[in-house]
Amino acid sequence: MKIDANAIASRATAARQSLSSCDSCARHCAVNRLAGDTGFCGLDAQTHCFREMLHDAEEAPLNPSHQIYFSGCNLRCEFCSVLEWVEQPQAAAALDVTQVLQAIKRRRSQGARTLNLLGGEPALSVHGILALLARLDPDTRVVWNSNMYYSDLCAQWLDGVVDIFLADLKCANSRCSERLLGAADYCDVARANIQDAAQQGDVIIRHLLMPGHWDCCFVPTLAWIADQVPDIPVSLRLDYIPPAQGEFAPMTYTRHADRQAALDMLEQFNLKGIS
Amino acid sequence: MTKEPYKREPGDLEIRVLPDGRFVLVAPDQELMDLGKTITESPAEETCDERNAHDPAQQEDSKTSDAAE
Repeated sequence: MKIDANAIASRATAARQSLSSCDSCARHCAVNRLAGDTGFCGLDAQTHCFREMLHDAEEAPLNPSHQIYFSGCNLRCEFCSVLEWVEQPQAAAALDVTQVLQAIKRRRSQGARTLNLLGGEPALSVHGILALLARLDPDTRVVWNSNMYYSDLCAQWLDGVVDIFLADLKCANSRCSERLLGAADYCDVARANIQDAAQQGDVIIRHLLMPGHWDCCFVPTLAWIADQVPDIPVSLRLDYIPPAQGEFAPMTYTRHADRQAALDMLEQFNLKGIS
Repeated sequence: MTKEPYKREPGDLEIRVLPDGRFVLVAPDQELMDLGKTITESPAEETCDERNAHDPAQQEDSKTSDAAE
């Protein structure tokens, strides 16, 4: 059940105050962002937004989706498609709430069914996002498009605020997550947050099929979903784009045969696919 | 010119042309997305016809091409 605007505003205030010892994400940096210090994500206390657009290539129940991109991330995926905004988060303009509210209104008039909050990782900007959501129409369907690598505290702030968690679940073991994402504990944290999110609202799990990570990441991820959260729909992303350069990331595109095999595997696990 | 691949900076947009002729828009913004949609939704013949309709010389070429077929 969603909470009201006053409660969201109170959380926004608390979330902002907590930046004096930041615990928004699973890195628990504890830096004082209010004083201008920065931790792993490189963000200060401002919320930085680098793009908004109406997108119709998200999962079908979300489309058309109004995407708002927040800069900064707590992972360092070499294959990230917006890595420049992750590495230089403060290059993005500070969030202008009035301007964004106007954009949300405009996109709704253009047909947006959902408000899709993504990044980078939106959890790092949860204080600014909550302040924004407190001023929205309560019937806005809010999508939390996240790597799910955030803290228990952040999970509490999201409870009753988010309609749909679009959980981008990467990797399935610490070795791959350390190399590919820069976070050895990613899987445990993300999986726990997905299970928690399933108690709070609707969840869609996304998994990006990565060349060379069939046995170590793809199959174990489906196996975990089938075992732990079998009712959550799974969105397979089969459009991996290799980075221009990278040390650990696959440098090839996904083969057609692997795409088909991945869809077959989804059926073998008796999981509900969504596209 | 450096041999290193270009590293995107904030504000850059990237279009890749793959060896098989497909093109990939990397994390497109609204304008690039709209451009991609226009290209995808415009069959090559239709695009050619539209261009020819505004260019008499091209129309002539087109006819010649049709005749050859």
